[in-house]
Amino acid sequence: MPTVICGYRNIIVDGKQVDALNRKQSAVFRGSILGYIFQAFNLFPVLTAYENVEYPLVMTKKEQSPNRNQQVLEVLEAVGMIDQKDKRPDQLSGGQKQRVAVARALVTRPKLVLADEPTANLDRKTAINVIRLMRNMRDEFNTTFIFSTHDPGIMEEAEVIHSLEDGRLIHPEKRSSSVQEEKE
Amino acid sequence: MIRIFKIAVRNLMRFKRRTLLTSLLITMGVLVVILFSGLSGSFKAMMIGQITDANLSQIQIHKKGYVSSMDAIPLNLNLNLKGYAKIEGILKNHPLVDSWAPRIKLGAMLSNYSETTNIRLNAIDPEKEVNVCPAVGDRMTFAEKDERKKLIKPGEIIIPDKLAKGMKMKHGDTVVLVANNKDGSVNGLNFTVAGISEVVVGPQGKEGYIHIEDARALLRMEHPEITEMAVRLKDFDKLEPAYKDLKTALADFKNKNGKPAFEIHTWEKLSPFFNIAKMIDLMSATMKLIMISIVLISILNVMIMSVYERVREIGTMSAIGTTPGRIMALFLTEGFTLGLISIGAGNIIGVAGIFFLNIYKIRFSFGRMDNLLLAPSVSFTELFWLSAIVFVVSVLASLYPAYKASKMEPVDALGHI
Repeated sequence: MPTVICGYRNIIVDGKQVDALNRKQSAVFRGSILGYIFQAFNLFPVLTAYENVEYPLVMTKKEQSPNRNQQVLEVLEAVGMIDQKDKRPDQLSGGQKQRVAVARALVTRPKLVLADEPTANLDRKTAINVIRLMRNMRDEFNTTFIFSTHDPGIMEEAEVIHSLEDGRLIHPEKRSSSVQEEKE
Repeated sequence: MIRIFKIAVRNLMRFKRRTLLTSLLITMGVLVVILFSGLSGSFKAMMIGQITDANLSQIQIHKKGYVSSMDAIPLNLNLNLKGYAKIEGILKNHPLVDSWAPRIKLGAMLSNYSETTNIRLNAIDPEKEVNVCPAVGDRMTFAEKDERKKLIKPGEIIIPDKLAKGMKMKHGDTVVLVANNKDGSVNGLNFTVAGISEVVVGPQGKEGYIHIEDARALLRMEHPEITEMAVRLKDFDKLEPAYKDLKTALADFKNKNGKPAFEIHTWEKLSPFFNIAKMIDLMSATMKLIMISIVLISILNVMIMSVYERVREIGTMSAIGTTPGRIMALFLTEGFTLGLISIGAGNIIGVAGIFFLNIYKIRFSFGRMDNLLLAPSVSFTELFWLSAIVFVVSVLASLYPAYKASKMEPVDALGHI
């Protein structure tokens, strides 16, 4: 798990003082360390599922084509979207879109993934599937996920929960992963 | 880069109607400029060709002071044999000069025995004249077709068609020319109407033609004199350097008062059409300016709309790690692609338009010149520069929206509604 230290003025992630980076360095940092999953998926409408997942590799990592293709297919396989890879976002369901979004966030092998209400636009069954998918990704790629949610059902799936109340952080609640696995 | 181009094309296709309308507007701009350039260029080239090849010649050399008083057709400003030899010596040795021909200009009274009128005459040496003005016979009608080659023989006259109609004269009629020589004595000679010439625009466009030997006889010249030396160059595009060279060479000859003996003028100084040609160039430049404005405003408008409609998308790109430079490149490529599509369409339709204009020939009248045929054409160089202008303007118009997109903070952009 990457070290995240937040002080009064400084934010240090994985040894880098983020707030001291310029615009280009920030972009490079985001491209190499972070992955994002958005509440509204934010897939690029003109790109297919495959191209959406490939996008961060093309725009940030500059991976060579054979590796890139293999990486994209791997991650699409992992999220169960390999059969839908040539479809554009408007041809996918909400759950499928979010799977593509998860794949896009993971394709660069980021150390930290920030997810903004990743299940808010999904039905319960799909939402739980997405959370489980994220957990599998964590185990497979050793990625840390931080996500926000209002859904108590989804919170049940989390290991550590931080509550925000009136803009203030409430004490963390640590949960045993073995308890969760038993529940499953 | 190919990937950015692909995304740019897809983004343009995302808003098909808007892209189509903008592209159509730019295409129309390019098309109008190509057609206007083709037509105006053809008109200009044809008129200049008429003036220099059928009448005026490309360069004229006179005795100093003649051109400023040429309306009076002064006979006391003729060049004598010595002056003629000097000019010929320069022209013979100049590598840009192709040919030259002597002329005598005179005014006379023309009578067909029932009516009399004034006529301005151009007395020529036909063999030399056809070298300097190869199209001189093209706008003349003769009794027999073969006579066009000979142009004129001693004892013959070619009269302007308006004069022929006014005085009801035709080929083969006998007329009398009466002229004063420079001493004031009057002389008259009979001539046969050998040809009738159409009017050519310019100061010498309504002149009749007689043989130079007849002019000398009519004016009772004791020694051969000429009014002007008409000059043709090997390459018309070298007009300016040839003019400068000849002017420098002629400046070495001084008159008794130590002032230059000769003066030299290009057709541009002698024909009022040069000002019309300049106006055509100005109109052509204005058309290009209008087209640039259309391209600039259209692409600027589309790209600004595109940026404001895709704020969240730009935020996503940025959040994923796309550098500001790549975001800028993406939007610049969109603008450039839009310009490129329009350039392609405009050029294809424009060239096709020129082709069809050449099939369906355009005939028109200019001044008193009738039945002029336009042959519009557009050069590859002109198409290249036109395309280059549209291309550069497209990129320039995309610059501000692209810059604005690249400067967006991902947090603000993602929060945009």
